[in-house]
Amino acid sequence: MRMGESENGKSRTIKIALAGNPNAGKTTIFNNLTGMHQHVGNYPGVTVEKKEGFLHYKGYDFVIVDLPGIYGLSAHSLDEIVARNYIVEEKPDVVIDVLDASNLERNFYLAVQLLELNVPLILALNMADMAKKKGMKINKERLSALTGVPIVLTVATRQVAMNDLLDAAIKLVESKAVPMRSRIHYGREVDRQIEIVMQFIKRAPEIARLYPPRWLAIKLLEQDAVVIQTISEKPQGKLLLEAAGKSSALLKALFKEDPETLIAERRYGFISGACDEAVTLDYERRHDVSDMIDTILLNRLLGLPIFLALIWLVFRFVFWASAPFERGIEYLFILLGRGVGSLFSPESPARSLIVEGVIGGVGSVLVFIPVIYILFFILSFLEDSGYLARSAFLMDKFMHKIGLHGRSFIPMLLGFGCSLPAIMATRSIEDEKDRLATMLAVPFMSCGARLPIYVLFIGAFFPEHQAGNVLFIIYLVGIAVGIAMAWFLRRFLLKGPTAPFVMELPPYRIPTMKAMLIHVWERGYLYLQKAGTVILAGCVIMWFLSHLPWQSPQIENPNWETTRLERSYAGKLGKAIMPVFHPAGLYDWRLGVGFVGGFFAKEIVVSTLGTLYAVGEGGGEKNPSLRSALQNARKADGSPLYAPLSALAAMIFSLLYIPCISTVAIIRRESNSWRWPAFAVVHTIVTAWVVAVIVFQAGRLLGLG
Amino acid sequence: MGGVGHLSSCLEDYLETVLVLKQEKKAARMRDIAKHMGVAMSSAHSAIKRLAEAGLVNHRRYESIELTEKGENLAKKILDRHNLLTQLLRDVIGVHAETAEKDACAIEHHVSQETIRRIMEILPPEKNPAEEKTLKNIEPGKSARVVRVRAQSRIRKRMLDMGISPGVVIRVKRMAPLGDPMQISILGYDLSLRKNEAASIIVEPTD
Repeated sequence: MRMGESENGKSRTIKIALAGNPNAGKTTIFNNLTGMHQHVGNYPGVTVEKKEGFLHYKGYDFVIVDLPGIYGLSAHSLDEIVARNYIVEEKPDVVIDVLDASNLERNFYLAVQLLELNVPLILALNMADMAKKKGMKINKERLSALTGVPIVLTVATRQVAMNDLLDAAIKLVESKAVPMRSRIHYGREVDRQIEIVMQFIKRAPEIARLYPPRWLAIKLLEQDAVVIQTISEKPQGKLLLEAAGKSSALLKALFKEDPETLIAERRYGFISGACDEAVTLDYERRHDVSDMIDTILLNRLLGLPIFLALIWLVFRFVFWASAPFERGIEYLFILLGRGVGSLFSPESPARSLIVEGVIGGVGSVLVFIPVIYILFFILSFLEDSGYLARSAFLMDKFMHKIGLHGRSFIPMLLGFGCSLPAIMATRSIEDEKDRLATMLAVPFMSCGARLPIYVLFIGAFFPEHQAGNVLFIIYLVGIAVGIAMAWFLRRFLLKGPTAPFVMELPPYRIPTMKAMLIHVWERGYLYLQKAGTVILAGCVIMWFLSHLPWQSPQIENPNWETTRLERSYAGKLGKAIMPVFHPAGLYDWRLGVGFVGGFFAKEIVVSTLGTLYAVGEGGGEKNPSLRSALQNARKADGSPLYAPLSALAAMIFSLLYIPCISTVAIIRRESNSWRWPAFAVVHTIVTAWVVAVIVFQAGRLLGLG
Repeated sequence: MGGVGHLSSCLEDYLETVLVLKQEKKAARMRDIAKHMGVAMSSAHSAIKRLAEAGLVNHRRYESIELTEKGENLAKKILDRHNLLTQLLRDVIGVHAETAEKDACAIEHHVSQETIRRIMEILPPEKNPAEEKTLKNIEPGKSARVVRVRAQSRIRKRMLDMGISPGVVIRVKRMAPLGDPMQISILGYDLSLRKNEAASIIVEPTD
């Protein structure tokens, strides 16, 4: 009896795993089947996303798992290990392998390996319409007979044959007959070695229970590192590995070729034979539209300018289009705060906590929603259309130089707008180490929230004709530190071989609205659920820091806010940390309080200074009274608190230390651990301090102080 | 003795070491030779002196040791024989690479020319890499058939997964605007890979 099946004939559960190559339409099928009934999480301990969906059909409860897109089962990438482990260990009732019918030969490579894994398999030949357009005529029955598994032709984008898949799954689960699988023959010598290794496997029952014996024998001949690791921990494992090692070496000597290559070659041979028999090409493939688009978009001269212009437009559009929504949300929350606040007595701590802590906190969570939605709508358009892979192709040489992957470019660039969506965009980077290195370098790109700090300090301490240059230098420092950090991480902390750039450039397609909307909805949901709670908690903690110990408001005292903040924990903390900043030429304790507040969001640096210098409401970055307050601030001995050089150090520090609590929350979410966000907090603060001190001290030595 | 020249097996080892060090470190110094052979400096000194007397090396005090033309030819022969034996032990007999290396060292001086010739017959020396064409050398617009994939394990697996396996025809479409990576067409779809990855794919041009 299968898992989840109940005797009394009530609803039964069928667990389906969707496997397949990236770009084969797996996720579209998943979306079609489960609609909005999805749950997105992570596989334990890794950053790989786990998507589960549910549906009810013909009296059965289906649980559908969308496995990460993979090309093979050789377990050299995290995605493949996750997918393989799921299939082998969780033993789903049915595995549906989604193949791109118009690109059958390569897609079949995974199918062949799944066949060998001896799992209950259905092949969904998706994009059957595209294959037809290409002139391919697929004989479904013949192919099914050749492979021994049921085949369904589907067109996921138009929802064709979705129920046929479910029917096939039910039939497969209910049929008690043992399926007759065709077996790939690897030639006399290889087959003999497979037999020999299988003999050894049969003698080790504990191992034989783990994997299908023939599949295991093949994997051992291929010297699969993950399988070898697992086997070596078992009793009798050593003996088996030794035997397999000998067989593998023998094959290598005989054919002067790696067994792995040998086996792959035979698999492709089988595939090509099967395709010859079951697929006929009606007419020669005409000139491809994708090819024509590529001649323009990947053109030697035009390719890069088009890419840069496009990405610049996307960037401008996203932050331009989301700005009014952000202002709207901010305004709504101010209104809400006032409304709710009027229910309490103006002097009660509860009022302040709810209005400023909780409502303000929810506001600062929601304020990111427009930019995340708009950006991911466009990004999923770029991805689904096939252009995102091209952008990595265009930028790879440059990014490879700093130890990263071509796909790291777009997230880094988005960092100039907002670190949050930029870090979320690192998901398209396949290699875990590249992804983490990019994630940790992104916060150094100066985001929009840091700009007010520069405007304030540059306005106060630099002549107008230098303003542009100073701003430019600050951005450059961020880029340089970000690149250095990525290089450093990849070189030392996230050491490992560079990820190969053997990457598919999928044909251009027009993305479906549904796929894009689901993608956007998913991102927004993940952000709210996983990051939102951390951000909200951070805002409430910040309220406690800046309002406790509680002091009764003194409405008649115009400088009451200033005194309150100064006496709060945040104020005390700001004062306490200031000596640390003396080597950077910074002595203003108010700035220290600002830095503490800036940990929660960089905008707070300016507003804190405004409060502490008691320049009243609207103490924004362009406020002339805040500027002159900074210019006129004096130390105890009467010398000015700030000079252009120390102002520069203040800006550099603000630039480089962790952008906001939301960034911490999103790194936590995307890296699926607390280790990396903790690392990010510490290393950005240390880096910020070091660079600020270097800038100040070097400037002084050069006589700029 | 079945040695190549008329040197003792010990001196053959010294000559081989000089060549290996020159290939690996660009220069063979007395200290490195002693370390490599696991002997005292004085032993190395007297051995090199005897090689110099035989006209195989030039050596002046405090300078690195240079092979004469005669010495280099002989050293290469010895090294070839060593590599051949290692290959036989490792690839055909199937012992560990390390054991193969060690045993080859022990056997090499005592094998007859006849045995060596026979081994060479069943084990043709690997093709000189310079003669082979790789995908990197194929110009945009041209096609080639894959002969073998020489990449390291992780990248090779990926290449095999993507369909780059012996016998498959690849057409190079274009280079990226910055000159790297390249776009190729294989099994009816498009793939990109870096030039240094392409350099590990040995091909024969088809047009």
